[in-house]
Amino acid sequence: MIFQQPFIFFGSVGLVLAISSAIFVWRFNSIKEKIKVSKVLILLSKIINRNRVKTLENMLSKNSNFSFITIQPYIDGINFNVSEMKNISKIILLFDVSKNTIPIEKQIEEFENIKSFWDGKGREVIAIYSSEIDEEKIRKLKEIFGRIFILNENLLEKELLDIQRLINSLSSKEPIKTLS
Amino acid sequence: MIRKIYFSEFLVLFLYVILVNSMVTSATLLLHELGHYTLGLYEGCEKIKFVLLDSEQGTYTEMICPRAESWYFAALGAFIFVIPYSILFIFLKNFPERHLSMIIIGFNFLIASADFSFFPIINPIVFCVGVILIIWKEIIFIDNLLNKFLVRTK
Repeated sequence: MIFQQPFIFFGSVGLVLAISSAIFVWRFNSIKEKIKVSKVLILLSKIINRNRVKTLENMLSKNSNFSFITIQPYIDGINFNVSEMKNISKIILLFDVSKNTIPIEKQIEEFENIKSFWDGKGREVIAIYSSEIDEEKIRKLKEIFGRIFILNENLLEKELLDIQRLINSLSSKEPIKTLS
Repeated sequence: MIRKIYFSEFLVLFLYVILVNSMVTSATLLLHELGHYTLGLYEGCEKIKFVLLDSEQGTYTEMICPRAESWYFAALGAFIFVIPYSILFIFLKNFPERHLSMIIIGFNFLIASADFSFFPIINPIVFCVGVILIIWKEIIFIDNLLNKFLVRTK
């Protein structure tokens, strides 16, 4: 009488290994898709110097898993072909709402000219100011974009709550209003 | 949770899954045959031969038993060491490896299917139950493993 296995040793173990390998590749790809890095593009208004937003960018990167790319459309242009521009999940439009800077209408116009690029994508609006805030600019921005994040660029460390709200908002999938 | 995944992570986890599965299934196969051997011995079967690698007949335990009942009893030996061995993994409560417990049982069914060849319908059923158990628990084991090592906060 023989208690014989359906396969030779390597066959039965090999079957389990084949099953586990196939499942591993399948599940790994599905998890990879779920947690892949999302890029957030920060578009700067012409009057905002790139160095002014370095601290903000660092704080956002430090507190989130997004990768941030900052460009000034009017100076850098927007190159749709470069790999950096692919897989962008959200866009941040950055305005300067300090007093005595160029009118907000001009800044809005800059972004309207490249509306086709960011329209329909998830976007957030940040209004930064250095010393004194111009309430009129804020009012106009809110009128057009709805929700905006107002940050003092010199006191970013004290605005962690707003930064966190912004990151949560970048992670959410809720539809965002676009310019009409 | 969003982050970059590196190829090295894929490689390390893949090798780990392969290694763990090979070790666990090899051990199960040994314990399965050892169970037949032990109960055969207990029942007074003679000329017991435990063969792990045979190019023609594969892995098997051979014996001559005095009564037919002794043979059925020896057949049950497939489970006597494997079940306690699988239970050991249940104690790994917070580890994905606890799911290996059911993979072991599934694998034991798979390799035991030939032991039930005297029941023509049971044989393929036992085989399919084993494969289904393995697939089901491998999915859960690998999912838990990947979630534990890849989906972590910064």
